[in-house]
Amino acid sequence: MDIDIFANRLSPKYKILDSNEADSILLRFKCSRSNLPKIRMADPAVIALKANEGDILEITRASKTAGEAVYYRVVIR
Amino acid sequence: MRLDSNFVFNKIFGIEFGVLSPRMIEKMSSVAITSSELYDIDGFPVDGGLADMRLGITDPGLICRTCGNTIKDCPGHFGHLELARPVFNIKMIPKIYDLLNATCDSCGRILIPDSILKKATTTMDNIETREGPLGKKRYIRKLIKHAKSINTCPFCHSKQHKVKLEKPYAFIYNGQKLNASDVRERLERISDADLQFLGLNQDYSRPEWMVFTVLPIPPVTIRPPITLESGQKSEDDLTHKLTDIVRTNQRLAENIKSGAPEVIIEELWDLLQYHVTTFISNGTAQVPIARHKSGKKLKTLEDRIKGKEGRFRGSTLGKRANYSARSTISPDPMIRLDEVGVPLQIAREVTYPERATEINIERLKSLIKNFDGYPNASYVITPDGIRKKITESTVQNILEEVKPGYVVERSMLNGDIILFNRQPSLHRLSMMGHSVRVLEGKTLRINPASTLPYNADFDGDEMNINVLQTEEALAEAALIMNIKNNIVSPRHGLPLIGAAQDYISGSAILTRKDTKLDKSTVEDFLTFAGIDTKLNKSTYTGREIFSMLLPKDLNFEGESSVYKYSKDEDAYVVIKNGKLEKGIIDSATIGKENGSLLQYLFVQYGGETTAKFIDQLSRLALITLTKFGMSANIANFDLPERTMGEIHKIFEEGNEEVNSMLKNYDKDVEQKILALTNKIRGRVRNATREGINENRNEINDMMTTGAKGSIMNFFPTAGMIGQQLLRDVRMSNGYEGRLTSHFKRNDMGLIPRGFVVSNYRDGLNPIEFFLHAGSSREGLMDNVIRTPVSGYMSRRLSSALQDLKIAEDLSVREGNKIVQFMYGEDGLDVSLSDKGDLNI
Repeated sequence: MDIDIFANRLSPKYKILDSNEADSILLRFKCSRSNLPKIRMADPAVIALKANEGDILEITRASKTAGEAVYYRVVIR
Repeated sequence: MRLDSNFVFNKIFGIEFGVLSPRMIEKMSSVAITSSELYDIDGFPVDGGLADMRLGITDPGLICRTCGNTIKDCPGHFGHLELARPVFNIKMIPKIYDLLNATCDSCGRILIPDSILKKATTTMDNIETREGPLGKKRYIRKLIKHAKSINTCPFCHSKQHKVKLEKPYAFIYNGQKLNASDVRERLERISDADLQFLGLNQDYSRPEWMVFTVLPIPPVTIRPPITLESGQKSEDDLTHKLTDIVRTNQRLAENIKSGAPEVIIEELWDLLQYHVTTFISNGTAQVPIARHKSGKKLKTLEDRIKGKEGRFRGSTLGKRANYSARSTISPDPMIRLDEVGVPLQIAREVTYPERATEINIERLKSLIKNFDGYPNASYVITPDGIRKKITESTVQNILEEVKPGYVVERSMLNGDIILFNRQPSLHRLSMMGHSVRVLEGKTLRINPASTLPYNADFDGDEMNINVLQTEEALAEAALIMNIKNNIVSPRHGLPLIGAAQDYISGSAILTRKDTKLDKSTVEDFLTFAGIDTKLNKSTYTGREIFSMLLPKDLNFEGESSVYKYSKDEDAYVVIKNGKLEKGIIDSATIGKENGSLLQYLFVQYGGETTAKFIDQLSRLALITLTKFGMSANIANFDLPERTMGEIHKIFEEGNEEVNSMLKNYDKDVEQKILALTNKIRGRVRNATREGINENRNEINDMMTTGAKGSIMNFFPTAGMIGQQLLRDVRMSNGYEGRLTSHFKRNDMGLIPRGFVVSNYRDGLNPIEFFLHAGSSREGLMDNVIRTPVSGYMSRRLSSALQDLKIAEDLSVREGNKIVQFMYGEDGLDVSLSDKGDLNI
């Protein structure tokens, strides 16, 4: 059965960053991929997005304090 | 720190743990110990004795005969003692026991067939790569367990007799005692090839090395003699034990040489074994404890490592700090909340190194001159780092010598910034910067307004101060860590420092609408509070006096606690241009973990203003309360006849409802009754609240101002206590079908199941009292059990999060690893916000 996991209201917004965007994020936070929070290849969201190892996902979550909060997670094996 | 060319810089690749071989012991030894004497008649160390100068140096001025260094650089050197007969290392007994039973008693091979061994090598490697060294250890333990259960050697097919261990260190084989030599012989027979299956290694841990033939003698530097005031030398416990070992060993050797009877040799051998055992460990079961003549336990090698005071927990994870002091705390409302009262004795003893400059040199010189008084200086440090003590005989020279660039260690002075701390240090506010106020007495004094962040009270609590020794640390303590800048909590944005109890009552009385004071009283008040203003009126209202504390441009509006309670418009706080127009200043505006006014002041005017405000206000509140007085009395709990009747009716109605419920029995009846008892409690509470006589009722004043107590304490005191619960249900256990023998069996009504109709003021009847005590006991038990559990949980959480910090770009990081891209997702400093929100 195919379920669109992103249709669930609790599911945050995901976006795969292209390499330019990814570089600018790393530059903005002055860090390398290994310093970012990680997400597994086996994660349902990663599978659904068909992201590859090393991709950086931009995740926009609802936030109690800020309304919306943007997180970045790097896809790992 | 100075880099010394003697240092060798290398990266540690790994650590191999093993057993020292006799050859290794001899190789690393610089002396063979031959004499049990320490010193000769002239007091010089005997060659080959336990204080031999080749073992290292403990006296300043002497030179080590092994390395040629003085006491400062000589690390100490091992010696060795050739044992006349081998003895066991007590710590190796369990391993030896395993080895003896896991190997063949005739051929020495491991008691596992070759076919399995061949596979075991690869399995072991696989487990090690998969599960790491611990997995390998588990596997080896399984192998040994298996080998111990086999009765016929798979290699030489001989029948196996198992060795029995008679604690502490006797091995019985076939009914006969194996001595250390026999055991060593058997261990020698174990082949190198089998060692890997036993968790050993031929290069680092041959099994026979677990039996000493040569004993390593630790360097004197780890067991230095202490010179007593009488000039006599007192030897270390380890040295005492070593002399016993050497002496016994000598006697044993002589007896063997002279061909003494076997019994005597056996006896001495056992004695040697005992001494070697108690040299290593003094806590082995069934080994008598070695003691001093005074009966004090000897400190053994094991004691130095093990336990709370051992090397790891005592020396590596925790250390004693210099420039610190500790004492009982007591309250002092007359010092500022950012001060700490320091006893003169502490202020004299604990020093701060102040660097001399053109500006302060004269002041420092006067401190040096006053070296035996207070304020004083006790040492000076020259620019080349030489410390000179200031004494009667050195003052003159030092006074002439001191010039800018010198460092003077002077006593604590009023206004110095120090750190103040109370354990357990659960959050960052457990250690804050305070300003010193030297006082008489022996306790550390703290303003009661500042107790909450430390969780301190005055029932015997002790606290620590740390005098900062560098300018950088001082700057941090004076600014970032200063208590004045930490009045508002970073957790919820409310002030942790503020008024409590009496101070709230006092300020509420002061700011009541009808409080009026004549000029001379106002003078008293203002003097006490430390406010300097010109008075030009003959009478003042309390609110006018309060307004004198406020910044002239302050505008503030907020609910007071009284307003929340009574919706009395006059109690609603309005401050315009620094004037309190109306409102009662109570816990909702100035209370700890509450005060909206304090929070507003802190955000708008900063810590300095807020601290000054709290200080002046609490003194004002104090003298108000002193002058006006406030006494509660038992009549404060009087409820009108009408209310008492109402409460009685509420109970009667409830009781009837229960009875009718019980008549029409259904399975949820107990639940329904429980819900009903809660409803009764709620109705009693509301009826009580309605009925309180508010006229001249100090208890009510304390409740409404938030000084102390609430309706939850009031209604069981004045109205009705209500249902007693045990494990969240009505009480039911005791006698068969009833709580006590005073009730009918299986009566499920209100009173037979623990409903208390009385109140605290009128008193409970004996049965009510008993059942009420049951409920209270549960509360106490829960508290006792829950406190350490939740404490441990929060400790684990703190430990997991302790390295998080907010980076310059407001991201939260652990090291360089990003945990949160924006602190709190909105990047706000809660302590500078409006209770976590942005208020523009």
